Amino acid sequence: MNTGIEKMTFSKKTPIEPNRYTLSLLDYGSQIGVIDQHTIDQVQIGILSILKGLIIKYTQGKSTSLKVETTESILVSVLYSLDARLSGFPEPGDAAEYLRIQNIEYIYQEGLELVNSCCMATRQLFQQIVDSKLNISLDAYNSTIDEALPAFFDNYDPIFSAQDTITSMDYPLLFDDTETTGIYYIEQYLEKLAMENYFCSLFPPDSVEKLLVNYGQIYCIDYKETLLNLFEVLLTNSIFSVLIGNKANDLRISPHQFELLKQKFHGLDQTDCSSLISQAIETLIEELNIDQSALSNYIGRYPALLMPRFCSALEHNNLMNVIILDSQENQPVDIRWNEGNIIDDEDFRLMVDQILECLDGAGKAALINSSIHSLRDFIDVLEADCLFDDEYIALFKTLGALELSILARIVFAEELRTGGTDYSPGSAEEKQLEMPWQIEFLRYWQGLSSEKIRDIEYHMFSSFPSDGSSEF
Amino acid sequence: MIYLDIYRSMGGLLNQSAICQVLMTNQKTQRHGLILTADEAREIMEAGNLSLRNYNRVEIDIDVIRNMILTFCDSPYMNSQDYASTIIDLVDIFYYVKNESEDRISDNDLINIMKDFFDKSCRGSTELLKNRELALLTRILKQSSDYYLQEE
Repeated sequence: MNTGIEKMTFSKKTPIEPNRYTLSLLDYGSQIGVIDQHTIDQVQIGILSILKGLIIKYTQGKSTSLKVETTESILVSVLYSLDARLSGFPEPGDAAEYLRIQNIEYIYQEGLELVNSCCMATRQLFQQIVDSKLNISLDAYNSTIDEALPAFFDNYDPIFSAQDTITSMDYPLLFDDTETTGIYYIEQYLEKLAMENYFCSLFPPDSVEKLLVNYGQIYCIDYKETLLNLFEVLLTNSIFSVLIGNKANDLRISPHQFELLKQKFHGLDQTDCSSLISQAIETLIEELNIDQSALSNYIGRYPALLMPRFCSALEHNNLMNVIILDSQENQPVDIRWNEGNIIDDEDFRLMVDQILECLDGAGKAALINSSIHSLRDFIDVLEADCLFDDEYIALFKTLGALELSILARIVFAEELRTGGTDYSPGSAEEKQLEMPWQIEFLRYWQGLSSEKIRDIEYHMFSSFPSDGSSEF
Repeated sequence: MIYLDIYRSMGGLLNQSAICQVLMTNQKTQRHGLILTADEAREIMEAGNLSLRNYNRVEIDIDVIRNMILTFCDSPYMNSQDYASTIIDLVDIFYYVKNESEDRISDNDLINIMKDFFDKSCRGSTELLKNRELALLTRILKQSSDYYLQEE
């Protein structure tokens, strides 16, 4: 007798797509001849019947037609529940057999119950996350927990739009699964966020905040507004902290320790580096008493992400972009700008008038250097239309490597943020620079010797002293 | 993606069944001298499907066509010569307005309003019905906050 289903031959390489399980099962099952046309017809008629009922419910019985987009969205929602039930079978063959013998409406109801249960469990998990929320000043982290996720739960509709994940969750996870949709996406997001939160809570809050400040200085960005993953930043420094002999929860790495780290990795191939980092991770897990296997496994996935970045930085002598140094441990630097010495508006106008009266670049530079003692004023002068063409170059020539590195961080901010120490200065056109001083700075930069650039870059990739002198 | 056009996806069975249901309206309309042949019923069904496609809509029943016939059959402006083609026009206008009004009016309300305009201010003109009366109605509906659908 033809049962409609032969012995299933779905292999381990069966191309059943987890995020469109039912349709993919039907497609592939019919292709390999293990699901017959009758079963497919029955499933289709059953799904259309469910859809019809939902359309009536959606329109409150007041309309028998809907726009295609709305109907498709409801259909995808039906399939989402079917997927929830059918993907729960250990093997695709079992799911296909269930499709054959069971009424599709019944399978849908089972799936819908699963989606509802997941929704309830995920709400509880979210509440736990709210209760143990980290006290950090990362805007994306706070808005995701305080605003985006509550809005998601308020609006989530398992019947008509189970697949929707419409939310403004900006906080990035280290390992997110963006292929998943609907409540199952939120579930995996929150499970991972809970693990990340727990890990981050193992570090002293003030040292976490300090590390973030240093991170912001390295990349010349306001860390509070940056879409960074805190777990990754802490984990990275913790790994290298362990490697240098610190405790795992000590995030501080001094310049001296940094040099020792460089020596430690010097001459090692990728396998050896990877081995050292893996050992450090094992130590870190042990020292931090991490006994949740899910979290250990999550951390264990990190080397695959870290190694390419680390090896590239090591090769290009740019490790400062991977390991965040403790700014207090930096060598004292001599910088001419101090945030405390800002000129008042009236004096500033008088000074600009004097600069304009001065006829040569060298004279203007001397006047600026003798009058300006803060970076904010210095930038204001650059933008005050009182310097022209080569006069900018004359001024830049009077600056030291440290001052130039600060200007370079401003001009190359985007390149440094995306490329790190592998940044490419690019051309004025590519960068779409608008400020004349930035265009002239780029011209000046392009004329510098590689030795001078290295000197400036040394400061660019070092942390600044924390007296605020690098900020404006 | 499973084909969403309910007429097409349910195949010939539904088509045949739908045609039979349309033909059953003859029992009521014949007293007004209006009778559809099987070919005309099929033609109405096919035109309805075409309208749905044109307006990107999905229909799950034939109630709209049946109700349109049963509501309009006593109109003084319906005659046996262009009975089928008028029904086709009215069904097309119906889906057009559903779309244009962003589904802000129920099927029955729309059919009844159409009938009222058709018999009174439009004097049987489907052009006036669509381009004057219902165009105005659509504008009013789009500004209305009384909205029975949950979203869109």
